[in-house]
Amino acid sequence: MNDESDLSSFSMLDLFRTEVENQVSTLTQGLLLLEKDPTSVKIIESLMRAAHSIKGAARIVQIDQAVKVAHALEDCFVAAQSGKTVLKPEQMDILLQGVDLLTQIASLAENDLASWQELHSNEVQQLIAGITSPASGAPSQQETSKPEPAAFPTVAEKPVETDTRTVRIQAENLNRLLGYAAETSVSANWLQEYAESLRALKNQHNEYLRTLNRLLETTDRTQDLSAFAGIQESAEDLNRLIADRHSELETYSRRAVNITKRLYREVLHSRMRPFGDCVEAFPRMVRDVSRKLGKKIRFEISGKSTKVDRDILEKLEAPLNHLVRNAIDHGIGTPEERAAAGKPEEGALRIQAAQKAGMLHVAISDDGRGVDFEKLRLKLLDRKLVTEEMAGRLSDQEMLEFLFLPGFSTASQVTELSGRGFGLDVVYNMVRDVGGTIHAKSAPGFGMTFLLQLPITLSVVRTLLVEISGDIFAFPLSRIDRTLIVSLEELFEKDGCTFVRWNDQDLAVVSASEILELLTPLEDGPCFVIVISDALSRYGVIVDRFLQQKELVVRPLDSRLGKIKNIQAAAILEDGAPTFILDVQDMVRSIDHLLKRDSGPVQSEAQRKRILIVEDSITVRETEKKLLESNGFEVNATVDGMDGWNALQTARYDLVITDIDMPRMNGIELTSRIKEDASLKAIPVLVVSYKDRDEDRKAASSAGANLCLSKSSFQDDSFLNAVARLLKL
Amino acid sequence: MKDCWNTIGVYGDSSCMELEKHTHCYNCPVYSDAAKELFDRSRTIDGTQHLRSHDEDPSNGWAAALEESKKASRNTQSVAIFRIGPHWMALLSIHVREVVDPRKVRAIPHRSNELLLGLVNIKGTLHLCVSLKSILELSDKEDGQETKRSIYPRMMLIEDDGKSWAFHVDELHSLHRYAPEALIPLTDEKKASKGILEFEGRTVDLLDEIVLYRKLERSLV
Repeated sequence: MNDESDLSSFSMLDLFRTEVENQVSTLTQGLLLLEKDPTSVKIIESLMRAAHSIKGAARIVQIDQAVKVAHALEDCFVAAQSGKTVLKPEQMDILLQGVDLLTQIASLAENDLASWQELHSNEVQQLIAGITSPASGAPSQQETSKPEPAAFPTVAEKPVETDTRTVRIQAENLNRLLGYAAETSVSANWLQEYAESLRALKNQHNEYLRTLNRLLETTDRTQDLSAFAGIQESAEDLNRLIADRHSELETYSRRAVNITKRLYREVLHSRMRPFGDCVEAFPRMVRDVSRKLGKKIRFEISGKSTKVDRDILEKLEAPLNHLVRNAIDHGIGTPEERAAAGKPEEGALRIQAAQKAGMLHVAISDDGRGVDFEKLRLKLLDRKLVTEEMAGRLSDQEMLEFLFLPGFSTASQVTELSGRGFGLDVVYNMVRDVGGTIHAKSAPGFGMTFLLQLPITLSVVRTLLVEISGDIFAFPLSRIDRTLIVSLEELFEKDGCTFVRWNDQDLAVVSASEILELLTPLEDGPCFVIVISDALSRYGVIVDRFLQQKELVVRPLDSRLGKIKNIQAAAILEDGAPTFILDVQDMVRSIDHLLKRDSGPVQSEAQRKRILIVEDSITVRETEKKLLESNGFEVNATVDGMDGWNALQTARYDLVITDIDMPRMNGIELTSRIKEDASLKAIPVLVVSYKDRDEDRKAASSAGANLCLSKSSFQDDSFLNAVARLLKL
Repeated sequence: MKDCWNTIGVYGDSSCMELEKHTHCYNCPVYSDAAKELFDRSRTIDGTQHLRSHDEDPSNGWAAALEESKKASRNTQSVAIFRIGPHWMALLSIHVREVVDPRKVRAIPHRSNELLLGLVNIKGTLHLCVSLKSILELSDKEDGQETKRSIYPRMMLIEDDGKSWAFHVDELHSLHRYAPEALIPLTDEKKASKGILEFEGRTVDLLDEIVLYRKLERSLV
């Protein structure tokens, strides 16, 4: 762990990079605005300042090429400001290229700086000539053969408005801060409990005083009572003292609780960034892409100030980028097409972000062609994803859900822009990973809308705390369908399973302690049932008790533990005790498994081939599993090599299907372990890799894999054929 | 530095002439100069600074460690000496990150076993808690002398390469510096021991941190 969070520990080069990051966003935004309003002095001035700052910073670190580019830009803006030239929209391209070049230079490693500058000096020269001579400034065709425009034009923290200062802080520090804030909260809560316990003391003392008074009243008045009176007086003093101290402590602890709560919220809040940060680079991207495709697009973003956790924001950028590119490439037609369809030539593309009911809603909508449902239906049939009979029954909405399957693309040809092996399934995966949902809406001819619903933050989750086998567990509220309290008499047995009648259907119920492999406590009171579901099944989970609703700060599980079955994350309760947040998705699968095992026909088990899947991507894992199960195989899925290896020790398998890139133990290592083990090496191993890479194939076959396939093989029969071949069926 | 306060000062026989003027060694410049010297001493030769806290009595181990460090030659090493059941062990003190009161360990469903006990909250951060006794396969054998000792249970948090491990000990005795020649080499992979140190008439196993961390890692599989 290093604590390099203050600027003093950054190198000069780092400072240059920071400067470029900040100024480039000003430049890009300014240039795009200028395109619409070429004479705005205010914009030109901000551009001048930005170029000048970069020039200064580049000079300090002596990166000559950057100095030259920044200088050329500055000159150009100065000329525009003095009214000598008016910047024409065509010129924007070359100016933006200059900005790209600066970003590119700033992203170079220190060692590569000198060689890069030498290598690209001609190119820089050319660009500068283009910037400074607006007369000949039309971008030449050869510019397109330039090195890739910088792949990272966006930065997490950029001042959106100049008056909000930002400070860079390492995520690690922030997490520690959160830990301490939580711990302080625990201490403050303890104080409050302690103050409460003093109340008992106070009451007891009151009682004592009353007894004393009663005694005095009943005592013979003729005797000398001065000694008693003394006791009475001091007891009253004591009583007041206790009362005073108690109220003081109460005030203090209330204050402490209040302030620590605020501290805690503030720390949590400091993880929030405006949604605008994530889409900052989009206007530029939309402009470039649409120009390249010869499309006219009006791009709007609303809700930029919506606050979102930076973790979500980071994960959101790639999927949004993909959806936007998709919309431009496949959704919105060329001006001619649009005119023919009776629409305005300029297509509209809109990203809307808003906070609704504690969730972030993002809608990406275009007014383009939309989905041709008849074509989609044919495609589903063609891919054998549905039967003819089923295809006829599918509603439009149901058909749209197929768009999110791995490797499923409606685009008939892969284009450079959006067909980069990054399909809607990846978008879907990301959204599911953070506990959100995505839906598509389309009307043919009237465009397409993707609706994303995401949690505002991953760091806090609203949960229901329950007791299971004497321990506290947390169910995420968003994954609870219903909670029920039923009496034991309402439960009934059928085919070896327990059911309860709910909503006119028989709901199978399983005890949580059985799912989690914990001791089952003896309970005879009413049953506390939590109804959970996934797309295919719905079950009731019996817990010992419902405790309370609670917001928990999510603590990721120690990475050394890998994925723990049925557990999503850890958390710390108010009293400082650790607890676990349950993974409902996993639990539903565990119940599937439990019930199948319980009710499965035992006699045919021997003939059924057992397959072990080792795969860390949940989508691929489930796709493989469903595919194989529907073909009559018995399947066990594990999440990484280590997990898979452990499974091999405990049960017999006829085939292992493994991914390559996985945490803890990768597929290559797993394969070689299997092939080196005397008792396991006879099991065939099928390696399925995400990317079709030669080195992966080689590594897999030298480790002893029997066959290597790419994931696109799910789309046709080649995957199932390979499985059948390896199992000698 | 001469600890005159222990010999002729108030902690000794009070024969110092200066006492007449200052009444107590606290008020004497010799005493405060010694303190300054203590604070100014170089911190590099010694790993004791890594031991950040001891919940109840932070001075307890410190005084001994500082006392030791005065005598220490440059190549001595600082170890934390602790006890589990009848077994005395020593671990390089640079590996010790926290020593705290024992607290409740939360078992991890599907994972907890006799090696990996669960998660424990230490200063607002969750750490893995293991049973060092099971990992090192320490015997339970009754040892009249040691089990009669009063027990001061503690939880130790050790860290290597950013990976931390918490475990219960029955007693954390002190920090101690040992010279390499004082170690009786006796490698015992099972006990993860580099050898034996004599300390206050006891035999102490010096833990081999490489073997120890390997065993700890393996407890997760």
